[in-house]
Amino acid sequence: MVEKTYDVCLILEGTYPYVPGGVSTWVHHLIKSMPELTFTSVCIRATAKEKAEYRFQVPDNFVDPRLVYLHDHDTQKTAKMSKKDRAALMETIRQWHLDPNMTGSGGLLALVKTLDASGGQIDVKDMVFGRTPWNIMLELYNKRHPEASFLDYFWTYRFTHLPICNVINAPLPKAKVYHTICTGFAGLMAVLASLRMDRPMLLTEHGIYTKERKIEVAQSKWIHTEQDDRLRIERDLGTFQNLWIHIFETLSRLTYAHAHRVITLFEGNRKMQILGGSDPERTEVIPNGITLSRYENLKPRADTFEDERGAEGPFKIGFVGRVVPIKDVKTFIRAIKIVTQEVQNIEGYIIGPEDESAEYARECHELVHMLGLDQTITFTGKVFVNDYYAILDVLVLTSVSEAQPLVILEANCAGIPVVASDVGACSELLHGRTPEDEELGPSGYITRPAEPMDTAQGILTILLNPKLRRAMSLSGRERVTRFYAETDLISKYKALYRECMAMPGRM
Amino acid sequence: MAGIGFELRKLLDKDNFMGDIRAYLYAALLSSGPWLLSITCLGVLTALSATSGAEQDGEIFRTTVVYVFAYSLIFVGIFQLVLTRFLADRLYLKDDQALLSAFVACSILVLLGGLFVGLAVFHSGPLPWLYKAMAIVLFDVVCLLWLTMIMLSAVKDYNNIVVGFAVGAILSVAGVWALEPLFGLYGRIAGYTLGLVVSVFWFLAIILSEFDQHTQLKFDVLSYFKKYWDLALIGFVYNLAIWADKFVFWLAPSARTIVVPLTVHDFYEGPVFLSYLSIVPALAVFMVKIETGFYEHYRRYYQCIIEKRPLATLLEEKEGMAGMLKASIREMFIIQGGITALCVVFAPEILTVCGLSPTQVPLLRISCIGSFLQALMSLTVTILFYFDLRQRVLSVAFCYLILNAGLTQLSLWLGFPFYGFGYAYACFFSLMLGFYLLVQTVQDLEFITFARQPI
Repeated sequence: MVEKTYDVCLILEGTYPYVPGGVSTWVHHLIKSMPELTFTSVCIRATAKEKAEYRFQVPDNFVDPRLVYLHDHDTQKTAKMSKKDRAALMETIRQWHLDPNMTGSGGLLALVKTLDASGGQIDVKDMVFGRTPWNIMLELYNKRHPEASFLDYFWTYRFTHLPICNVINAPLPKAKVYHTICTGFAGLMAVLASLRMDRPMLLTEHGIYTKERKIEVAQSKWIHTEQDDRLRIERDLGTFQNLWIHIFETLSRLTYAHAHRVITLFEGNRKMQILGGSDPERTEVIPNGITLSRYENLKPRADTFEDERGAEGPFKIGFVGRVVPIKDVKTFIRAIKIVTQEVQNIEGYIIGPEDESAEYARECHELVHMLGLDQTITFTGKVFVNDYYAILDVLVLTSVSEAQPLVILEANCAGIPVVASDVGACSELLHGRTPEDEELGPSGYITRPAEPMDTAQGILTILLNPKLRRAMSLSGRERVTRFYAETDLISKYKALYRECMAMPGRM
Repeated sequence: MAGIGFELRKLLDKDNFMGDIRAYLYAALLSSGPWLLSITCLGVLTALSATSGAEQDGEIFRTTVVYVFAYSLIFVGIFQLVLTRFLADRLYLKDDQALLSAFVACSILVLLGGLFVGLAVFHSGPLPWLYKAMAIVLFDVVCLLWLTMIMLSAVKDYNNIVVGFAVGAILSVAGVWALEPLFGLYGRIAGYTLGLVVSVFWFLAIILSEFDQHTQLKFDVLSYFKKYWDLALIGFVYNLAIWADKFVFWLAPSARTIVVPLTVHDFYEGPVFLSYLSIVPALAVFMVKIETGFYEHYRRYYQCIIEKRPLATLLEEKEGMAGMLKASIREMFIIQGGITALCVVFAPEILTVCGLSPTQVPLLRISCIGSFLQALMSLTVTILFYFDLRQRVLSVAFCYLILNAGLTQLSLWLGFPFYGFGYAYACFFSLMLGFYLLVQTVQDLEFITFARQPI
């Protein structure tokens, strides 16, 4: 039987179609918008013990998805290979590890070649219990961390390498182009696929993988042993966290080095990718877009009416988002309090579900009550947001962390100026990313995160200045229409896929 | 995700587990200790029967006791290490309720199995069925005795073992002395059995007072036979190996059948049993050395691991441990070597005192050397047990079994000047193997400790 060749193989870490959320929705739209291409996927998940259920109605052109589990180890699994092949493979692995520039294409290519020449599978049992891997580990330890706790080093070595073995051993579908949606283990798998199948690979990073892992590692309990009273050498804490981070950085670097294009959502991330080792020439920003028709007619255009607002009653200030700590709703509430001291006739809306962090939501309600804002602020819960876009005068985003928030695009598209904290892509969404974009003028106001005074200042500036408000509303509409239409995103990816699929190589 | 293997954690949790793993040491000694006492006991009985005149009865009785000891040690060997391991694990987990239950479960198995083994050993021949029945009862009593001793050594109640056993031994000698004149052969075996029954009840009383009695009878210890089948095999093979040369001689044409099924080999047995007594000092030194010296280093080595020290520190600690081992072996060589040399020199006088023939001088000499080597071998085996290298111990046990049987048979063919050389060479080669494995273990200790940890 001839093995099926797919057009695009997406390599996903724990996302589509099993987990709802931004990245999965993005993938879903991408697949749905290109019915002429066949997509398959390899989804990397932590363990088979967690149930994987479809959260999406997958399109017909999404076929034969595969699953790979990172942390399920069959440590009894051996691979058949000759003694000579085994020795050669181990030596390649050793050389690769000793190479300070292990992300260069030479080392991994040599590894893939030796591996494929000897059957294509890493001997997991040997990796865990074998003599040669042990010796390589000792060599690296003695060379790089001779002062570190050997116990921790050993377990770190095991736990960092087992997932990598699983990734290397995972069977790959044949595809014309491999597209990974993050670096890390999925990135490694895409690189391996690209090298083994001699096909190009693309990388789209929504959030920066290393940055996210760094936060995780810093918070994790399992890498170091704080609870162990016997811990003597404090600096070892750093050593092992750094080992993990080093692994993640290496994986990112590898992915950047091998990707045909390195794509992200906004300029700030692109800069981080370059810092992380990506060749600037190959980086590219393809922002997320929205379906314009859904939002552009919610409100009358600001230049179509003569009076100040085209609306009656109090000013309506909205926060749109889940009520969770990362969105910093409390700063919004405090900012509203400050605004009420200047302007009386306002209404605040907190528009979004409250069930994700009930504790935090309760604290927000309490804060509203304590500040005497019960009459001013309404919690709407989960609603159809468009109804509110139709009436809001200004939208506020107080998040302490964001990538490229769609809510800004939606608000701007509807003609609503935005006050947003300076995180992720907010600034470039409101002030413009390219010179051409900047010429359109600001469509909102940027504040420092977690500064209610700043946010209040922004709201007041917009409320008390009808001319500015009108200008912002118009430039917002213009910006979204010109640079953030979803159709642009699709056509850009379509072009990239076509380019990659046409590239010569084995098929 | 981060899971340091249970085994390692256990190994590292010094205060609990280190103490318990030492049970292996005592388990090792147990296979030598009690039957050293038995030999003494037999010696006294032999001396007594020599005066009483009923030569035939004395021989039947004495041989019965030797058979009971031999077969019971081999039979209980199957349970010995597995039960020790189970008790150590449960003590570590502070699951005190499982202890007594495991003991009762094993007792039931041992007593039932003992009946069959006893029946298999003693059923044939013209001896009266009453005597056979009493022999089987004695067999069960001795089996239970070994089991109670394992139980007590798990809680390290060594004083009581010694006292209880000594009292039983004295009473059994007294019993034989008192009942023999009244009931003849039946009196001897009954008196002897009664003495040992006192020991058994002595130990049972301690067990019942020491262990948590709020327990249900559970046979979960049986799962350990599956999990630690190698321990069961080691116990069986090692004890069988110890007796292999005796069995070979009993089957030889030169053996003398007193009455079916009881056979003795007059020329071989005496000096060999006697030579075992010569290694008592070695065993004592060995115990002290392991306890004070080696164990300290062993503990520190693993302590360094849990204290998250760098590899260099571990290697330093290991150097200390290796040095200590060398020193212990040297010391054992000097002390036991001296004693063995004395035995070799004074072999004729020793034989005279014990009433044996001067023709057995070369045999006594070579078996003293053999016993010395055997003591050293059990030292290496015990240390391998400390590192939980069961496969390696098993290979030594098998090596000893095969060589002891094979070379002893060879010595039989070669003729009586070679008697005892089979045993000595078997000990020598097994010691070499054990020593080689031990050196390799110490050299490779990090790899063994870490790399075999399950995920």
